[in-house]
Amino acid sequence: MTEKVILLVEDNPSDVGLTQRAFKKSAIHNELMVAEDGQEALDYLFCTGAHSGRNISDTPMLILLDLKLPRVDGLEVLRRIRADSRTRRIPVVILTSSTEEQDIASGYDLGTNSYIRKPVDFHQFAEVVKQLGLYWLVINEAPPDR
Amino acid sequence: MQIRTQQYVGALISALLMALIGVTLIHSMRTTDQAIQRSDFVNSLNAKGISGLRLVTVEYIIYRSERAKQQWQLRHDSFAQLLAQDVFEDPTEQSILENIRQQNQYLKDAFSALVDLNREPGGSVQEAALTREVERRLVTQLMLISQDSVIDARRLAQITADKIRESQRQTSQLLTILVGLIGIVIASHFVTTLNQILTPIKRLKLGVEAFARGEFSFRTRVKVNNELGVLSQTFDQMAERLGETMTALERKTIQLLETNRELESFSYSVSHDLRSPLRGIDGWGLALIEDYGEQLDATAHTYVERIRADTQRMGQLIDDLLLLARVTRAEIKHELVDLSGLAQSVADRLKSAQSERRIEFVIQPGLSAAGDPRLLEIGLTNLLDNASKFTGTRAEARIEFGETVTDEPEPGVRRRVYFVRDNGVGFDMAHAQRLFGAFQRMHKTSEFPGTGIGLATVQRVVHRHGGSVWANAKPDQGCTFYFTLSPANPNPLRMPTRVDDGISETSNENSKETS
Repeated sequence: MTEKVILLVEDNPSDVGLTQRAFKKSAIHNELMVAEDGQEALDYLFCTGAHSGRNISDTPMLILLDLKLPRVDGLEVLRRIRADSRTRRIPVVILTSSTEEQDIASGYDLGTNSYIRKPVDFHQFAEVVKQLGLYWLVINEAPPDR
Repeated sequence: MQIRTQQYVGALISALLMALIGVTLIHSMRTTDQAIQRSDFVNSLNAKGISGLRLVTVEYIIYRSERAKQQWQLRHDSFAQLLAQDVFEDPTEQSILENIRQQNQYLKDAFSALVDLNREPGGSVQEAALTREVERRLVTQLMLISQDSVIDARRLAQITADKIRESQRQTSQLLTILVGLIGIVIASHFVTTLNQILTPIKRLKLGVEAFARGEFSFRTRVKVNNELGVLSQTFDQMAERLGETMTALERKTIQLLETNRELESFSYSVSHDLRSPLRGIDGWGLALIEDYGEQLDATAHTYVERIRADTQRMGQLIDDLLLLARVTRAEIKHELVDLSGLAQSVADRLKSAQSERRIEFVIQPGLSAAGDPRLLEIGLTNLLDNASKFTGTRAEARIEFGETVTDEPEPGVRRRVYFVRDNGVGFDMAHAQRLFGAFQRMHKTSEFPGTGIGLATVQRVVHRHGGSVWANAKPDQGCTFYFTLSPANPNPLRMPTRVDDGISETSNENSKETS
């Protein structure tokens, strides 16, 4: 079985780097595909724009989604993912700095599988990423391929 | 015209017309009464007088008896007495009555002549024939005069009857005019009331109803020259002013809402954007140690650790500030909150987080209050957290939560208050004034870390519930925080005022920094 891709939707390069580092430290070897804004994430998922040549059935194993993104924001990306039958079953974890009640509520309303606040402490952050990987890539039974 | 004047004038005219009707009726009754009296008199002239006298005259002519003669004289006298009455004022009637009197006099003369003729019996045949001739003429004269009297009496009766009818006709005419006038007065009064009172009142009612609905654009626009006109004008002015005030208020509210939205988006940005770089600083600092740790000496390691410690502190500050902002703007609910249960769960959390410490929590059971459960949890967490922190140096920490009655901070006013008491390091009451200000700290950060926002948050929570919070402490002898969750009772349990020992007082002289 080929290792499936993890899609990280994050516009802050520092956070991208830290997440990559945390994955590496947690010995998670799945390819980390980075989309720097909401539109790029949608292009990747629905094989449009720069990703028009990609096979749409090759869905990522997990999407880590920031909320505050340029162009199309995270909640809109989530809404589009859940609205399309081809991407509906992909596990989505919101990984953000915001603990605004409104964001958490909207996230769950739109069908996120999890909502996690990025801690400032890198040790904690690395731990969170490790747990995430363990849970979603190992413990959790992935949805069947379509 | 003023309503009062209008009403007075209306009442006056009505009263006048009523009086006129009364006078007319009395006058008419009197006139009719007199006319009926005259009519009676005329009837009795005919019945008792003229006809009676005629009957006796005929009786005398037939029988020539002494009794008939005496009868005639009696009748004539009583008739003369009747005629002597002066009942008429009208000259025509008076002259007719005078006629009858005269005719009565003639009757008497003729009758006397007839009696005289009978007393002297005639000697010769010619004389007897002459006497009979004279007698026949006298009788004829008597009958004619009598007939004249009957005709005069009838005329009199006719005139009297006409007068009664005339009087009745005049009365009814006058009454019709007066009733018509009253009708006009009532109608004009009604129209005036409608135009000058009812319509303005209706407009005013509409205005008040519009006010009740919160519409201040309504204007009564009543233009009448009375008290209601003044009232309506004042009402319109009031509406104008209120409308302006409301518009200004609405504008202010919109501005406030806008500011609030801006603040919210600001705190959102603070939450999101300020934390991200901190995570980077911390993460890459750690990466530096992990990846290049061997190339760095001990001092460099210390610097990186300091950078990371400050980053953590900054993160904590941001979190605390966000909480403070959230407490300030959160919509407050009013539910029955189990304070004892809340305190217990906070205590359990603190205990398990510091399992190495010996902390005794004494929580009074059964305490509950009306308030917002989330805000109260934030408040209690901060207070108990504080107590736990400042008892950190105690071998056996003791933290109490309960309810008590105290007359602090207003001497003489006893109130039920909640308290959180600890046996920690306490503080100097000289600095108590600054206790609840944001970023205000009583201790050195190296001794007791913290952001100085916790008690400010507690105060916000308490204030949002309408209560107050204050503290009582002595250095190294623990500290007690008191708070209420509702405004002071308007009828508190009064105690005799005493000169207070000044425990709750703070002096400004000794306000040196502690940090």
